[in-house]
Amino acid sequence: MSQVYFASLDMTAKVALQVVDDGQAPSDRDRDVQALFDYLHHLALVPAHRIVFITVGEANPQRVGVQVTLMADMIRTLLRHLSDRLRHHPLDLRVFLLVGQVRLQVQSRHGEELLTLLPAVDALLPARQLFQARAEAYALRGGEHSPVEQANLELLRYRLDIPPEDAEEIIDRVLGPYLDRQAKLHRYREVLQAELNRGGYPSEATWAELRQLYESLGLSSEDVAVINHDHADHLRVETQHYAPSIDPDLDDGDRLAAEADTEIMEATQPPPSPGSETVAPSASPMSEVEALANYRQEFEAAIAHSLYPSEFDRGRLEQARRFWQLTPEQVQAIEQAVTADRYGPIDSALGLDYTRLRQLLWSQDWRQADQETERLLLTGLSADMRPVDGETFLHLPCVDMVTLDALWRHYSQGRFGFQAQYRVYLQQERRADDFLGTVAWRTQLGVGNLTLHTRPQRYSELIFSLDAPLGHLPTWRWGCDTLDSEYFIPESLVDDLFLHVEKCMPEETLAPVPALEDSL
Amino acid sequence: MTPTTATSPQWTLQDLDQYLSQQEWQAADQITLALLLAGTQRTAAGWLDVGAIAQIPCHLLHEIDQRWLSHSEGHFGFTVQRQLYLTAAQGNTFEFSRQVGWTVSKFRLLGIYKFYDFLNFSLEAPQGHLPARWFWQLSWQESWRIGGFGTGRGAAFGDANMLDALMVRLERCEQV
Repeated sequence: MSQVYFASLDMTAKVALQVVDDGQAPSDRDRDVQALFDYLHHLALVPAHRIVFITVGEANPQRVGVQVTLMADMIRTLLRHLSDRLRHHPLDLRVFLLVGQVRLQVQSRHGEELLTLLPAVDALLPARQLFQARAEAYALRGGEHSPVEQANLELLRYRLDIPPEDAEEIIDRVLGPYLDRQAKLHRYREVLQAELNRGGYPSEATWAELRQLYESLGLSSEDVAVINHDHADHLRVETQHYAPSIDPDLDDGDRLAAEADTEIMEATQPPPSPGSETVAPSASPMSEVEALANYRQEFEAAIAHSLYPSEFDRGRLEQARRFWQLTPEQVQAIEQAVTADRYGPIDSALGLDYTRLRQLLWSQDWRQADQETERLLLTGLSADMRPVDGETFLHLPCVDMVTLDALWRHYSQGRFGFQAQYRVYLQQERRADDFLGTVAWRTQLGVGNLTLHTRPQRYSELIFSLDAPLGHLPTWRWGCDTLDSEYFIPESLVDDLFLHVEKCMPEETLAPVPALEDSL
Repeated sequence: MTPTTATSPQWTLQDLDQYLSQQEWQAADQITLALLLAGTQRTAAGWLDVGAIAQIPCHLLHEIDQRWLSHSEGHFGFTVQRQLYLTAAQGNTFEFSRQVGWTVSKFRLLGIYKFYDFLNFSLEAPQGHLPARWFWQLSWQESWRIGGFGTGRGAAFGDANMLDALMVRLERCEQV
């Protein structure tokens, strides 16, 4: 395909390098030719297959030189390299340059003469066409210009003395209306989706059209294969949760929709026989409520096993969104609600972002989650990250307390969080010192039931796993001055904190804590 | 001019800069304590405790640290101490004190702290050796309690809550 482009612009050039026969032995000449050939290969200015030997003689062919086919803007670079080479390895070389209809020729032994060709080459070559050819060659590789390609183009622009505006215009034209690869992939997706919506599985002719589309967009067949596969899969998933909805009790509108979906299901099968009636899904637009419900279902499936949809599902969901004509805002609201349902809320009245905490808890990284809890509370409640005392803690909005508690509770099956701690507190009849002992934040030394001495645990001695006692986490390290030498919680903080828990989460609204109930 | 008392309230970050640039490490160490005391309204008391350390303004900690770091080319400073505390000492205060050369002996039984005047105020000192005055200056009661005969931390055994407190403070300030 790149050949086609080169030809259409006529920006290819041929450079023939002939080793001059000065009466040396044929074997010597052949060795020189081979050395030149190896050198050009090693330079790697052009793909290997564009470098070929020039041979003469029918019966007893002899290699007399090397021919290189390259894009015209590379001539300059090639001549420079050659001139360098000849300076160090003198060789009688005749250089033929064929650009378009023009032919230049020069002979050199030490290379100086080669450079005299350059002004002629520059004069010969239409700068804008050169630039465009280079821009197109780059665009064909990946549908967009990579940073290094952009840099090269900029240098070329400078050398060819093309004004920036003109260069920009050329690049715009080359890349087409879709500036980067993502936009192109996206455009292809859109068109494919439209085709699928229009009448089920595309016909041979449509596939050919689609092929032309992606080729013009500069996409590779591999790119497109992924998208095509993706769509087939998408249609299959739709089928899965639509099929059961074909139900005699459905009203007509629903049934029509269900039938339309059955068509899509069939669409994933080989192309339908000609003449078979197809009902386009657009003939019976789904109600918005239905579309929202469907999207919700899709998204629930996509995050069934991980906090965020995979890249693959992301693409699928985006198609579904377009297919069902939902706005990004609508689906964002759904996604947040569904994720909160499944993985815990992240609401905050302090503008805190609880997503990192959720992520850490989801991955059961209790230690990091504990530290993140401190970070959130100190960021939200205290000036300059100073530790928070009981009085300041009372300023924690209930929304944030509920969020913190819900996240810790969710990922610990009720073992951790403020509610779990509150239950321990109630069970210890609101005695702060007994609470601190029961959640194992204090070590009690004693004989039998007699406690002789208590000392605060060190933070490093705390247990960051589900084996920890009920209510052990999250720690209240946000209230501490020291951690490793001692994790000391004053009893006044215990009373203050639970006062606030009672206010935000009244006892009768508390979720059952199975783990706690079992142990009591 | 050498600062004779650590508790002089008038020291500024520019003074710290000046003494550090002249490699007057001991004077700089005293100014550092003075700045920390002023920043936590403890100039009258003349020493820090864990509660005060937890309240040190983050920007002050940062400004002081940056000056030590740059003038010692990364040899001294709170950040250096925190790095050692986390990596080499793994959160063990005695191990840390030994590493930075604050103890008399590397053996735990003789692991009493040096008297302040016997610290090494030069770049030959172990990495993280300074600043140290903030840690040495104690109330005489506290000094007696931990075995320092009322003269500060010298000859005292490890009871390094203050060290821990500063490390916690540095960690929190990093998250601002």
